[in-house]
Amino acid sequence: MKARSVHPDNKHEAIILTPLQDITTIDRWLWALLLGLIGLGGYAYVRQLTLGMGVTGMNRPVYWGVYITNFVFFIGLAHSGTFISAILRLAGAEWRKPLTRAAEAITLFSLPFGVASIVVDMGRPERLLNVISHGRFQSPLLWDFTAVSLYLCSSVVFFYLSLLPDIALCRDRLTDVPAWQHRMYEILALGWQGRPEQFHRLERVLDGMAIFLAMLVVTVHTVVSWVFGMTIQPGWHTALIGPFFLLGAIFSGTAAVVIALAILRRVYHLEESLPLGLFNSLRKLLIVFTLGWLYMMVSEFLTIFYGNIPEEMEVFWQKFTGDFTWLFWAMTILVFVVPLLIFIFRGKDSIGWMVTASVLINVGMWLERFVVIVPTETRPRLLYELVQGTYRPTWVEAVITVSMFAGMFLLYAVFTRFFPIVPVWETAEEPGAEVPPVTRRRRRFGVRR
Amino acid sequence: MTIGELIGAFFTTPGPGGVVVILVLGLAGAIYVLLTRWILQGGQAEEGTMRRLR
Amino acid sequence: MPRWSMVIDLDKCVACQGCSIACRMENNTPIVSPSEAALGRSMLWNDVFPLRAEEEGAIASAKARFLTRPCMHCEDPPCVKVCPVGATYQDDEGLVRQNYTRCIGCRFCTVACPYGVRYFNWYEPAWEDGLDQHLNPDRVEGRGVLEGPAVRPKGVVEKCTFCIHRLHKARARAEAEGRDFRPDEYVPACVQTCTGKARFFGDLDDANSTVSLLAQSRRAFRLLNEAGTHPKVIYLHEG
Repeated sequence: MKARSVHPDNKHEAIILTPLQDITTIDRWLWALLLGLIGLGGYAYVRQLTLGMGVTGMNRPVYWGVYITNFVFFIGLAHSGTFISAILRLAGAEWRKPLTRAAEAITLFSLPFGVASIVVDMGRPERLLNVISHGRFQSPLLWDFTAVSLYLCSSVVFFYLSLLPDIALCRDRLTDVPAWQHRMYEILALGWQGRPEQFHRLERVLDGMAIFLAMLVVTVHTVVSWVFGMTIQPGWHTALIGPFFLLGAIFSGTAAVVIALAILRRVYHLEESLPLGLFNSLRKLLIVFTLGWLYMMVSEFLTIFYGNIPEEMEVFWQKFTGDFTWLFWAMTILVFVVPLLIFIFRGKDSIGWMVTASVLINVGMWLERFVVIVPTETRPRLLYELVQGTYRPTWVEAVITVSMFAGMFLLYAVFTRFFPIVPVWETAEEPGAEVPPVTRRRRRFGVRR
Repeated sequence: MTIGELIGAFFTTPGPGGVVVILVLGLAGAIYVLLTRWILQGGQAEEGTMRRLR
Repeated sequence: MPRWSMVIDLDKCVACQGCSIACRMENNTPIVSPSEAALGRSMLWNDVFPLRAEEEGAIASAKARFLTRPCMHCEDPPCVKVCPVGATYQDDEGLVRQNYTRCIGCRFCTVACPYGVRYFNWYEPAWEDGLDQHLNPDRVEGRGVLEGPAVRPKGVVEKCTFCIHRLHKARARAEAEGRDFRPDEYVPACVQTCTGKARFFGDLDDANSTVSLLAQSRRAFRLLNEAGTHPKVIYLHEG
């Protein structure tokens, strides 16, 4: 028996489902290109595996470089979805609804690359399971391992559950897709029937999980920062590193949502379901985050500067006037100065400017991660008088980084061709309370036909 | 062994950390499976009665 | 149970780097090419560093000063704290050891060590001109354990062990001769070779050992004492 479901009415349904119905030649070329980039990354990684980590630019004392930067960046990017859909869900911000899935998809597709970055950085990746069989909970890496894998598994579930009614929609509406694709919808829909009670329970679970995920967001990124914070290296060993990383994560994540939304809107003609107002709401959030970032920067560096502790100052001057001058000031301009100016003077009602600012923010945030991690290593506590480190990434690191971003784009692009990227059931008509009582829901969705 | 030593050993011995990871993930996984089933079962009882009435 | 400690008298050190070479031969540390060394990838478990000339007013000190640095074998080692798998650990005698078969190569310990005594195998170790025919055959081996001078695979971390294999051998000899092991029966290779006799080794828990006595000296200091690591390598100031 084929399960069929009741679906709430949504006048944009046809437009939202259009991208799922035909995969264009451009799509295929794009996917091929991205796959090619991933292949290059694979080649570089095989080289690193067979020859050794020496093919990277890492050295002594700069033992961690681009890979760890990517790790922090990807995990940060992943906070976009959870922030938009979990925290704003709790806050009852109705405007978030059309963009929840687009944001959560970023979470889902960037997290695996954060995890992969760690594996790529390991000298003996085949011994990864030692972390399970011999795990020591004193090591902050174990905290990371626990928190990130829990986060990955929870966001997959959160994402999947909120996708469930829409998979059922695909199953029922898209009858002319290839057989395997239809079969996939059938399996993934888990026999969803859209009964009012099912919707009711779904909302309740999503609300509950939103609280849990909001806590996880804070935990995960704080724990990521503690990998650095728990050492006694100058520049890392500060209590501010947790909040700073967290703010940066949500900041870059929200900016990434802007980019994703703009692309989706343009390519899939979703102008009506992703209205301009969304960008204006995100603009306000981003202004707050930009200023928050400045606040963190000032607190951190002013404290170091006034403390004037010799080993801290070595790192401080590395950033302000030393080897990392260019990166440091570029970061400040890219993350703070230009975006803030754009947001205030140009961002309103202008998607182009918003995307420009968001791209700058994400480039700048990647640099920020790099500038937090590497300068400290070039001037470690004792060695700053004895050995002074430098670091120049090699092509292997560059190619692997590019391939990881390509992988993220590929997953995202493919996903949008098989699943509706705007939640159809959540944006259904009759705007009202977030979780209406069951009786009202019944009226909205009707009884089973 | 005092309680302090026991807590210390939990953190410093290789092994318990892995157990924690497995427990946390296993528990979360089990809860998520149960929640998903609970959602899908929503309204099933009700429908059963209706069918019987018919 | 002895608490192993080393005292280095900087007054007697002539910076000949004999300790570095002895360590290299004893512990089979791989030799890297000059270009790799320029990248900071040379492996010297025991390194000798020139210190920056101190300036007093307009006059820079004319005297060259050096610091030789093995692993500090801290009482409270930051590297052990952060190791996720217990590949680096502190044994009952206070030695900070490294198990090459357990190490996953995450390099958290190398980053956490404030003394930079930990080295990573960027490549498979290599020796030129038949040097690999003259490797030290000693090793500390057990189930899932590989330590000491045993040749390391690529991708793991290694460090000064206070010549742990020598300790094992000395213990074995005492046992074979049916007597108790005495802490003065063993010294690491760097101590044995030191040209200026600047290095002393022994049991810090024995009040009459050389290291205990020297540790009382007014010249005694420890590197980065403020870092709270409680190093068991004790230096004696020059002059």
